[in-house]
Amino acid sequence: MENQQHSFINNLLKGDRTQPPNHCLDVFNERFPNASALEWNALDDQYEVIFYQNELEHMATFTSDGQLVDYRMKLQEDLLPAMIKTLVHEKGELMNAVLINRGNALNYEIIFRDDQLVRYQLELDQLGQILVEKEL
Amino acid sequence: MKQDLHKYTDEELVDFVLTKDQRAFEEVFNRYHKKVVDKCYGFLKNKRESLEFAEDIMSKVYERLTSFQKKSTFSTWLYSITYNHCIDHLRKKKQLHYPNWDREQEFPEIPDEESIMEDLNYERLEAVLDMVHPEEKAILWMKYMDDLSLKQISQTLQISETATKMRLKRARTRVLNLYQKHYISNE
Repeated sequence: MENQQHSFINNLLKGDRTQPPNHCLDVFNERFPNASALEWNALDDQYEVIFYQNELEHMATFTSDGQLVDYRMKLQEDLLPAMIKTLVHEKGELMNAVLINRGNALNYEIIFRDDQLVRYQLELDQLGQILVEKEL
Repeated sequence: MKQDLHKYTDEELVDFVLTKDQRAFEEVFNRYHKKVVDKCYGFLKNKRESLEFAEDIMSKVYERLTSFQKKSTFSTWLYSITYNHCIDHLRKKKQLHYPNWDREQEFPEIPDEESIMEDLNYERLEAVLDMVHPEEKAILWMKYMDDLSLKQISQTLQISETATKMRLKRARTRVLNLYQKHYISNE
Protein backbone atom coordinates (compact mmCIF):
# COMPACT_ATOMS: atom_id res chain seq x y z
CA MET A 1 0.00 0.00 0.00
CA GLU A 2 2.82 2.37 0.96
CA ASN A 3 4.55 1.59 -2.32
CA GLN A 4 1.39 2.44 -4.21
CA GLN A 5 1.05 5.75 -2.36
CA HIS A 6 4.70 6.56 -2.98
CA SER A 7 4.45 5.84 -6.70
CA PHE A 8 1.21 7.88 -6.94
CA ILE A 9 2.99 10.88 -5.41
CA ASN A 10 6.01 10.44 -7.68
CA ASN A 11 3.93 10.06 -10.82
CA LEU A 12 1.73 13.02 -9.94
CA LEU A 13 4.72 15.26 -9.34
CA LYS A 14 6.58 14.09 -12.39
CA GLY A 15 3.73 14.67 -14.87
CA ASP A 16 5.05 14.46 -18.43
CA ARG A 17 8.69 15.50 -18.59
CA THR A 18 9.86 14.63 -22.10
CA GLN A 19 12.65 16.85 -23.41
CA PRO A 20 11.65 17.95 -26.94
CA PRO A 21 14.16 18.64 -29.75
CA ASN A 22 15.43 22.25 -29.94
CA HIS A 23 13.63 22.80 -33.28
CA CYS A 24 10.31 22.25 -31.50
CA LEU A 25 11.25 24.44 -28.55
CA ASP A 26 12.33 27.33 -30.78
CA VAL A 27 9.13 27.31 -32.83
CA PHE A 28 7.05 26.87 -29.69
CA ASN A 29 8.65 29.82 -27.88
CA GLU A 30 8.13 32.02 -30.92
CA ARG A 31 4.47 31.04 -31.37
CA PHE A 32 3.47 30.97 -27.70
CA PRO A 33 5.63 33.49 -25.83
CA ASN A 34 3.25 33.72 -22.85
CA ALA A 35 2.88 30.00 -22.23
CA SER A 36 3.39 28.58 -18.75
CA ALA A 37 3.41 25.18 -16.98
CA LEU A 38 4.63 23.29 -20.05
CA GLU A 39 4.47 19.49 -20.17
CA TRP A 40 5.98 17.85 -23.25
CA ASN A 41 5.09 14.36 -24.35
CA ALA A 42 6.63 12.24 -27.11
CA LEU A 43 4.05 10.63 -29.43
CA ASP A 44 5.00 8.14 -32.19
CA ASP A 45 6.93 10.55 -34.41
CA GLN A 46 5.66 13.84 -33.01
CA TYR A 47 5.92 15.95 -29.87
CA GLU A 48 2.95 17.32 -28.03
CA VAL A 49 3.00 20.06 -25.42
CA ILE A 50 0.18 20.98 -23.07
CA PHE A 51 0.39 24.35 -21.35
CA TYR A 52 -1.51 27.34 -20.01
CA GLN A 53 -2.07 30.60 -21.77
CA ASN A 54 -4.62 33.19 -20.63
CA GLU A 55 -5.78 30.78 -17.92
CA LEU A 56 -6.87 28.17 -20.44
CA GLU A 57 -5.40 24.81 -21.42
CA HIS A 58 -3.71 24.74 -24.81
CA MET A 59 -2.07 21.87 -26.67
CA ALA A 60 0.31 22.06 -29.62
CA THR A 61 1.69 19.20 -31.72
CA PHE A 62 4.97 19.38 -33.63
CA THR A 63 6.82 17.11 -36.03
CA SER A 64 10.28 16.20 -34.76
CA ASP A 65 11.82 18.80 -37.11
CA GLY A 66 9.74 21.54 -35.52
CA GLN A 67 6.75 21.97 -37.86
CA LEU A 68 3.58 22.93 -36.01
CA VAL A 69 0.94 20.33 -36.91
CA ASP A 70 -1.96 21.79 -34.96
CA TYR A 71 -2.89 23.55 -31.78
CA ARG A 72 -5.93 23.18 -29.60
CA MET A 73 -7.42 25.47 -27.00
CA LYS A 74 -10.12 24.82 -24.41
CA LEU A 75 -13.05 27.15 -25.03
CA GLN A 76 -15.54 28.59 -22.62
CA GLU A 77 -19.08 28.45 -23.93
CA ASP A 78 -19.31 32.23 -24.41
CA LEU A 79 -16.43 32.10 -26.91
CA LEU A 80 -18.19 29.65 -29.21
CA PRO A 81 -19.59 31.14 -32.45
CA ALA A 82 -23.32 31.76 -32.06
CA MET A 83 -24.35 29.38 -34.84
CA ILE A 84 -22.40 26.50 -33.26
CA LYS A 85 -23.79 27.29 -29.84
CA THR A 86 -27.34 27.24 -31.23
CA LEU A 87 -26.76 23.97 -33.06
CA VAL A 88 -25.36 22.31 -29.92
CA HIS A 89 -28.20 23.57 -27.75
CA GLU A 90 -30.69 22.06 -30.17
CA LYS A 91 -29.00 18.69 -29.69
CA GLY A 92 -28.41 18.73 -25.93
CA GLU A 93 -26.23 20.14 -23.18
CA LEU A 94 -22.69 21.33 -23.91
CA MET A 95 -20.14 19.43 -21.80
CA ASN A 96 -16.84 20.52 -23.38
CA ALA A 97 -15.57 22.66 -26.25
CA VAL A 98 -12.14 22.84 -27.87
CA LEU A 99 -10.95 25.02 -30.75
CA ILE A 100 -8.66 23.17 -33.19
CA ASN A 101 -6.35 25.16 -35.48
CA ARG A 102 -4.97 22.86 -38.17
CA GLY A 103 -3.22 24.62 -41.07
CA ASN A 104 -5.58 27.37 -42.15
CA ALA A 105 -8.67 25.65 -40.82
CA LEU A 106 -10.41 26.44 -37.54
CA ASN A 107 -12.58 23.59 -36.31
CA TYR A 108 -14.47 22.97 -33.09
CA GLU A 109 -14.55 19.76 -31.07
CA ILE A 110 -17.72 19.62 -29.02
CA ILE A 111 -18.93 17.13 -26.45
CA PHE A 112 -22.61 17.26 -25.58
CA ARG A 113 -25.08 15.02 -23.82
CA ASP A 114 -28.70 14.38 -24.64
CA ASP A 115 -31.59 14.19 -22.19
CA GLN A 116 -30.80 10.50 -21.55
CA LEU A 117 -27.26 11.59 -20.50
CA VAL A 118 -25.75 9.84 -23.55
CA ARG A 119 -22.65 11.72 -24.69
CA TYR A 120 -21.64 12.53 -28.25
CA GLN A 121 -18.57 14.08 -29.85
CA LEU A 122 -18.88 16.46 -32.78
CA GLU A 123 -16.26 18.11 -34.93
CA LEU A 124 -17.54 21.13 -36.83
CA ASP A 125 -15.96 23.63 -39.17
CA GLN A 126 -16.23 27.40 -38.75
CA LEU A 127 -19.48 27.46 -40.71
CA GLY A 128 -21.10 24.96 -38.42
CA GLN A 129 -20.87 22.02 -40.86
CA ILE A 130 -20.64 18.76 -38.95
CA LEU A 131 -17.51 16.87 -40.02
CA VAL A 132 -17.63 14.07 -37.46
CA GLU A 133 -20.38 12.93 -35.11
CA LYS A 134 -20.06 9.90 -32.86
CA GLU A 135 -21.44 8.52 -29.63
CA LEU A 136 -18.89 8.36 -26.84
CA MET B 1 -4.81 -26.81 -4.00
CA LYS B 2 -6.07 -23.32 -3.14
CA GLN B 3 -2.56 -22.41 -1.98
CA ASP B 4 -1.28 -23.32 -5.43
CA LEU B 5 -3.38 -20.57 -7.00
CA HIS B 6 -1.31 -17.93 -5.19
CA LYS B 7 1.54 -18.73 -7.55
CA TYR B 8 -0.28 -17.64 -10.67
CA THR B 9 -0.52 -14.21 -12.21
CA ASP B 10 -3.88 -12.48 -12.52
CA GLU B 11 -3.91 -13.14 -16.23
CA GLU B 12 -3.25 -16.86 -15.73
CA LEU B 13 -6.08 -17.00 -13.21
CA VAL B 14 -8.40 -15.42 -15.76
CA ASP B 15 -7.47 -18.18 -18.21
CA PHE B 16 -8.31 -20.76 -15.54
CA VAL B 17 -11.69 -19.16 -14.90
CA LEU B 18 -12.42 -19.18 -18.61
CA THR B 19 -11.69 -22.90 -18.69
CA LYS B 20 -14.31 -23.32 -15.96
CA ASP B 21 -12.09 -23.44 -12.88
CA GLN B 22 -14.30 -21.43 -10.52
CA ARG B 23 -11.79 -21.57 -7.65
CA ALA B 24 -9.53 -19.31 -9.70
CA PHE B 25 -12.11 -16.53 -9.49
CA GLU B 26 -12.17 -16.89 -5.70
CA GLU B 27 -8.47 -16.11 -5.77
CA VAL B 28 -9.06 -13.09 -8.03
CA PHE B 29 -11.82 -11.96 -5.67
CA ASN B 30 -9.56 -12.32 -2.63
CA ARG B 31 -6.82 -10.33 -4.32
CA TYR B 32 -8.98 -7.41 -5.41
CA HIS B 33 -12.18 -7.17 -3.41
CA LYS B 34 -10.73 -4.99 -0.65
CA LYS B 35 -8.90 -2.78 -3.13
CA VAL B 36 -12.15 -2.23 -5.03
CA VAL B 37 -14.00 -1.45 -1.77
CA ASP B 38 -11.32 1.13 -0.89
CA LYS B 39 -11.54 2.74 -4.31
CA CYS B 40 -15.33 2.96 -4.10
CA TYR B 41 -15.07 4.42 -0.60
CA GLY B 42 -12.81 7.13 -2.01
CA PHE B 43 -15.81 8.37 -4.02
CA LEU B 44 -18.82 7.35 -1.97
CA LYS B 45 -17.54 7.95 1.59
CA ASN B 46 -19.98 5.34 2.83
CA LYS B 47 -18.80 1.89 4.00
CA ARG B 48 -22.00 -0.05 3.40
CA GLU B 49 -22.52 1.45 -0.06
CA SER B 50 -18.86 0.80 -0.94
CA LEU B 51 -19.23 -2.87 -0.01
CA GLU B 52 -22.38 -3.18 -2.14
CA PHE B 53 -20.66 -1.44 -5.05
CA ALA B 54 -17.65 -3.74 -4.78
CA GLU B 55 -19.95 -6.80 -4.92
CA ASP B 56 -21.64 -5.42 -8.04
CA ILE B 57 -18.29 -4.58 -9.65
CA MET B 58 -16.79 -8.01 -8.96
CA SER B 59 -19.92 -9.63 -10.47
CA LYS B 60 -19.62 -7.39 -13.49
CA VAL B 61 -15.94 -8.33 -13.84
CA TYR B 62 -16.84 -12.03 -13.70
CA GLU B 63 -19.54 -11.63 -16.34
CA ARG B 64 -17.22 -9.70 -18.63
CA LEU B 65 -14.10 -11.85 -18.29
CA THR B 66 -14.43 -13.10 -21.87
CA SER B 67 -14.05 -9.51 -23.08
CA PHE B 68 -10.71 -9.03 -21.25
CA GLN B 69 -8.27 -8.98 -24.16
CA LYS B 70 -5.01 -8.63 -22.21
CA LYS B 71 -4.17 -5.34 -23.93
CA SER B 72 -3.57 -4.00 -20.41
CA THR B 73 -2.93 -5.77 -17.13
CA PHE B 74 -5.93 -7.39 -15.48
CA SER B 75 -5.79 -4.93 -12.57
CA THR B 76 -5.93 -1.94 -14.94
CA TRP B 77 -8.93 -3.47 -16.71
CA LEU B 78 -10.68 -4.21 -13.41
CA TYR B 79 -10.05 -0.69 -12.12
CA SER B 80 -11.42 0.86 -15.32
CA ILE B 81 -14.67 -1.03 -14.62
CA THR B 82 -14.56 0.19 -11.01
CA TYR B 83 -14.14 3.85 -12.00
CA ASN B 84 -16.79 3.55 -14.67
CA HIS B 85 -19.28 2.13 -12.16
CA CYS B 86 -18.60 4.86 -9.57
CA ILE B 87 -18.60 7.76 -12.04
CA ASP B 88 -21.77 6.53 -13.68
CA HIS B 89 -23.44 6.45 -10.26
CA LEU B 90 -22.21 9.92 -9.31
CA ARG B 91 -23.41 11.40 -12.59
CA LYS B 92 -26.80 9.72 -12.70
CA LYS B 93 -27.85 9.31 -9.09
CA LYS B 94 -26.01 12.17 -7.40
CA GLN B 95 -26.33 14.42 -10.47
CA LEU B 96 -22.74 15.60 -10.15
CA HIS B 97 -21.90 17.91 -13.03
CA TYR B 98 -18.22 18.57 -13.65
CA PRO B 99 -18.47 21.47 -16.17
CA ASN B 100 -20.77 23.46 -13.85
CA TRP B 101 -18.51 22.81 -10.86
CA ASP B 102 -15.40 23.79 -12.82
CA ARG B 103 -17.00 27.04 -13.99
CA GLU B 104 -17.65 28.02 -10.39
CA GLN B 105 -14.02 27.49 -9.33
CA GLU B 106 -11.31 30.10 -9.49
CA PHE B 107 -8.63 29.32 -12.05
CA PRO B 108 -5.92 27.44 -10.11
CA GLU B 109 -2.71 29.45 -9.98
CA ILE B 110 0.29 27.60 -11.37
CA PRO B 111 1.89 25.97 -8.33
CA ASP B 112 5.58 26.11 -7.47
CA GLU B 113 6.29 22.42 -8.00
CA GLU B 114 9.81 22.62 -6.57
CA SER B 115 8.57 23.64 -3.14
CA ILE B 116 5.85 20.99 -3.13
CA MET B 117 8.28 18.29 -4.24
CA GLU B 118 10.25 18.61 -1.03
CA ASP B 119 7.32 18.03 1.25
CA LEU B 120 4.51 16.04 -0.32
CA ASN B 121 2.88 13.56 2.00
CA TYR B 122 0.10 11.13 1.17
CA GLU B 123 -2.30 11.90 4.04
CA ARG B 124 -2.30 15.59 3.17
CA LEU B 125 -2.61 14.81 -0.51
CA GLU B 126 -5.64 12.63 0.22
CA ALA B 127 -7.23 15.52 2.12
CA VAL B 128 -6.66 17.78 -0.90
CA LEU B 129 -8.11 15.16 -3.26
CA ASP B 130 -11.29 15.26 -1.20
CA MET B 131 -11.55 19.01 -1.86
CA VAL B 132 -11.77 18.65 -5.65
CA HIS B 133 -14.57 17.29 -7.80
CA PRO B 134 -14.80 13.45 -7.74
CA GLU B 135 -14.14 13.38 -11.51
CA GLU B 136 -10.85 15.24 -10.98
CA LYS B 137 -9.90 12.84 -8.21
CA ALA B 138 -10.82 9.91 -10.47
CA ILE B 139 -8.78 11.16 -13.42
CA LEU B 140 -5.68 11.59 -11.22
CA TRP B 141 -6.07 8.14 -9.68
CA MET B 142 -6.68 6.55 -13.09
CA LYS B 143 -3.59 8.13 -14.63
CA TYR B 144 -1.07 8.33 -11.79
CA MET B 145 -2.09 5.47 -9.49
CA ASP B 146 -3.59 2.78 -11.71
CA ASP B 147 -1.82 3.58 -14.96
CA LEU B 148 -4.91 3.50 -17.17
CA SER B 149 -4.20 4.53 -20.75
CA LEU B 150 -5.60 7.80 -22.10
CA LYS B 151 -7.98 5.76 -24.20
CA GLN B 152 -9.29 3.90 -21.13
CA ILE B 153 -9.65 7.16 -19.20
CA SER B 154 -11.50 8.78 -22.12
CA GLN B 155 -13.86 5.82 -22.36
CA THR B 156 -14.51 5.84 -18.63
CA LEU B 157 -15.26 9.57 -18.51
CA GLN B 158 -16.97 9.54 -21.93
CA ILE B 159 -14.94 12.44 -23.24
CA SER B 160 -12.47 12.79 -26.14
CA GLU B 161 -8.74 12.17 -25.69
CA THR B 162 -8.07 15.91 -26.14
CA ALA B 163 -10.57 16.74 -23.39
CA THR B 164 -9.00 14.04 -21.22
CA LYS B 165 -5.52 15.54 -21.55
CA MET B 166 -6.80 19.05 -20.78
CA ARG B 167 -8.85 17.88 -17.82
CA LEU B 168 -5.90 15.94 -16.47
CA LYS B 169 -3.75 19.04 -16.72
CA ARG B 170 -6.34 21.12 -14.87
CA ALA B 171 -6.85 18.48 -12.15
CA ARG B 172 -3.11 18.14 -11.53
CA THR B 173 -2.65 21.92 -11.44
CA ARG B 174 -5.58 22.40 -9.08
CA VAL B 175 -4.49 19.67 -6.66
CA LEU B 176 -0.88 20.86 -6.48
CA ASN B 177 -2.10 24.44 -6.11
CA LEU B 178 -4.44 23.51 -3.24
CA TYR B 179 -1.67 21.51 -1.60
CA GLN B 180 0.65 24.49 -1.78
CA LYS B 181 -2.03 26.84 -0.48
CA HIS B 182 -3.00 24.65 2.48
CA TYR B 183 0.26 23.03 3.49
CA ILE B 184 3.25 24.92 2.10
CA SER B 185 2.44 28.63 2.06
CA ASN B 186 1.28 28.62 5.72
CA GLU B 187 4.22 26.71 7.16
